[in-house]
Amino acid sequence: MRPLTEEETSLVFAKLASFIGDNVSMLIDRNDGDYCFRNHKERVYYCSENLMRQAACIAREPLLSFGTCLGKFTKTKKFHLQITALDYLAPYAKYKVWLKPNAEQQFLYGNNILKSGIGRMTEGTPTHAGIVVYSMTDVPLGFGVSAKGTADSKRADPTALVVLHQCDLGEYLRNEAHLN
Amino acid sequence: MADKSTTVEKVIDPIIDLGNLLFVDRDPIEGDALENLATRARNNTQLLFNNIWQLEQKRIDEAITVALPLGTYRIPREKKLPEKKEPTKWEKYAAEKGIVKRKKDKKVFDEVTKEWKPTYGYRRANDPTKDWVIEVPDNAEDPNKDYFAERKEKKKERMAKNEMQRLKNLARQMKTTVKTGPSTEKMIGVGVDAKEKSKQQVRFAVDRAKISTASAGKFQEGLKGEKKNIKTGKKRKFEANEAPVSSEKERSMKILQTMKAKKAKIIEEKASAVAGPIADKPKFDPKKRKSTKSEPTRQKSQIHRQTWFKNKVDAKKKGTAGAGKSKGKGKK
Repeated sequence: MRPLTEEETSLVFAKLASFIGDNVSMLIDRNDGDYCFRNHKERVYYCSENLMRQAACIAREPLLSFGTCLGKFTKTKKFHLQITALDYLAPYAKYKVWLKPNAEQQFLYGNNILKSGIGRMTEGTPTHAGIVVYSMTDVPLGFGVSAKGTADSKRADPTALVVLHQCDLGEYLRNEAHLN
Repeated sequence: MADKSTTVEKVIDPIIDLGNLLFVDRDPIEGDALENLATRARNNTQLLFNNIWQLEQKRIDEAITVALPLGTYRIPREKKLPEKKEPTKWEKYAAEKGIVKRKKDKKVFDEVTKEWKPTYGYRRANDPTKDWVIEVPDNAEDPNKDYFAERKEKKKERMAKNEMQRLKNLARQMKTTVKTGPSTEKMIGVGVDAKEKSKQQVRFAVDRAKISTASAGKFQEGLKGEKKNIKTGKKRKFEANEAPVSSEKERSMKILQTMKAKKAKIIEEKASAVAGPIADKPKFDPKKRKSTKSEPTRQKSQIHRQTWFKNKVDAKKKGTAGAGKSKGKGKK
């Protein structure tokens, strides 16, 4: 376990900012105590200082997880968010999309979202922006990248891809072994 | 035990394989399976033993014994079948010639010591290495030669040859060829030929060459799109894990600020690039489109061509000047 280096921090923040914009500062500076980001086995964990100090007592090898795993660094040093980060993305999300009930399962099985599946979408979403996916009952289901902005998607035909899938709640079942 | 009967009734004939002492109960489960399990197990065991008692019995030293028949139930093999080894070169040759392996006894009688001794190995009978004297042959070229040393040398050679053959056989079985190791013909210290270098080796060579300047590569410019030398020998350093989080918070806030500053710049540029042409363009309107189509803008070349034709027609009417001259007039 170690603090993130400068490059790592900027990579993580850039990725988070694509979803929650300036609200990244809300994760860094919190009212309810000190929270920190830690790199452990190329995974980035977000946890309270107290928890971090307790976890630091455990050696690197046996320590499996602590706090919330936001994502991981690939071997080429790119940062990928994981579904476990959804808890922190959903409340601050800048761009949201609400799915129709019949498109929910499609998304939860790891498929991209077509225009026909979209019930509602935040106005003014640009293309290639991080977007959090909700069900019509406002339950966050996952997140992805907008393939088309709001304006473009209005004109697009119903089979056009609007949101490219990145993570969904189904991964808790599908990729259980890889999440921690 | 006394109250339980030895006769057991089964609805469906069970599979009884006495060779494996196996009993397979095929009756359907009735009622609560857990409760009946114990009585059922007892009954089944009873039936198995009933069958064993029916076998032919023999008394050996006051004990009743039976010979179990061969098992009929095929139990799957625990380990996988051994793979067929490819025969060695000698085995192939022997099969071709019909040479059969003759087994020698493990021990032989040694006439010298009048003892039974192992055929091979340590303390073997007729051990040639234990000879205290070797006769110099009559036709010897050099009678002063060390025949003991020669014998040892030959033995070593034979061992080496055998080892080589063993390796060759192994390689043949694994369908590869024996690697001959670094050739003595190659020049020492020259290094790997550039064409045979791996990607990593080339990378290292480039990195090494770049820092091999008088200023240790400080002023060495990289090529466009070239990767930076990662292995500079510097060890990576991380912030202390146990430091107070407040300082870390400041640091990450600073990074966030610089990121924001950078971002705003990019967005402005992009926005201006995108917004510029849109503002100039007239807004899309189906009604307007028609009107623009009816009167297209006259381009400069079109005007030019028109005046040229006009002049030409004028000249023909007058019948004096050609088109070439009139072109000049038109320009004026």
